[in-house]
Amino acid sequence: MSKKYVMVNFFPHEADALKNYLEARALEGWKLDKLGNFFLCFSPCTPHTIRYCVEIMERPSVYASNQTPERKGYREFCREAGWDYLGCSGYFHVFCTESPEAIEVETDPELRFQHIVQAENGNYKLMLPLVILLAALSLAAFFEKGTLLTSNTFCLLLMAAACLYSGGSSLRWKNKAAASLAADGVLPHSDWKRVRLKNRIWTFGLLAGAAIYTIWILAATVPSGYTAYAALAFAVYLLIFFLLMFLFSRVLFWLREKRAYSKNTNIALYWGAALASAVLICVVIFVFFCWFFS
Amino acid sequence: MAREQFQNLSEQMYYILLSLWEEQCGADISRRVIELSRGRVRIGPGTLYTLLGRFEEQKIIRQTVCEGRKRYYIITEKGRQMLITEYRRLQALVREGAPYLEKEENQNE
Repeated sequence: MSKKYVMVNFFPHEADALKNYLEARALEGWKLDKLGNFFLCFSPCTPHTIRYCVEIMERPSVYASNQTPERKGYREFCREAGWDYLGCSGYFHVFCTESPEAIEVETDPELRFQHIVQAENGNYKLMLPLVILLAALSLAAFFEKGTLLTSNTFCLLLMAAACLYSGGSSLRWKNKAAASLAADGVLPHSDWKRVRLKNRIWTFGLLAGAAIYTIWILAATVPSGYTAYAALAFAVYLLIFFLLMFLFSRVLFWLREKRAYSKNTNIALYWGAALASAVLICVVIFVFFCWFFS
Repeated sequence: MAREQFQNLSEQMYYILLSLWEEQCGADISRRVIELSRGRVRIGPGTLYTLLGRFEEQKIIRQTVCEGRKRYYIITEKGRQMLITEYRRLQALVREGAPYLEKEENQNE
């Protein structure tokens, strides 16, 4: 059997659901090999019990290098306690062990609660600049063209829906967790099957919304007879977009992990790269339109 | 929140500080806590790392030696005072609860 790749779509407050999911996969004969920002990579093994810990560190940040003395120190503590480090994905740091005696990495539910809340807040800080940018573009289009029916508004709506969904889910968890902590001193149990199904439906819904909108725009704006060309051009555009995304993410990952710059330098690098890729995509679109209408 | 300012210590915080009455490194603290609490309290490495960082920031403990990645810590005077205050608070709780709760316990026996 070859390796298996699975998309990571768990929110920070679903860290326990991810842990339970990984343990269930090990019992089915799939152990986690490595994890990236978007995918988990599993390799086959004999079905057996593997314990996992999915942790969020103190003051989590997706910009911080994983090679800082603090993070290395954290991993060293865990290694000494019998936990092997598998890697990180966003805010999640994943450890595993086959020893039944190893003490759980995080034994204070209140600290865990604080870390999850810090990570959720970090997510909103990540989304905020994008929401502001899209809102500004939508407003500019409204004053210029007198309509809010633009691609920016649609992106804004998609993003607002994503924020509402994740925000609502996080707020519900926060209230439930606070009540559970106060009553029993533990965090609520997460059913990974339910969480995964919910997040799959949600991701599929967002992608379907984007696809329907794209097809609608193509059908409405492209003159008849040119639909096939437009569809091809759009497919090429998507390919370039994802290739660029992949390229930038690899370069940024390399800079973050091998050069171990400070968090602020990484923030500048990330946003600089985002700006550069936006400019590059605009240039590609502009060149395409010049060629298409010439 | 009171606990965030370390005004009331959690069990795990209490035992970490208690074990740092003598100089210890991370792994030793874990073992010492199990020993002191007779196996009742077990501290995970992630929790220990986070709490040591917070204690150090608040100058409740200080680092003494750094041998490669191994760091040794000891409680400071501020930490000792904090632990003593917590000990007195716990003593007062037991003292004030004893007239009612011990009688109840004796009846149950």
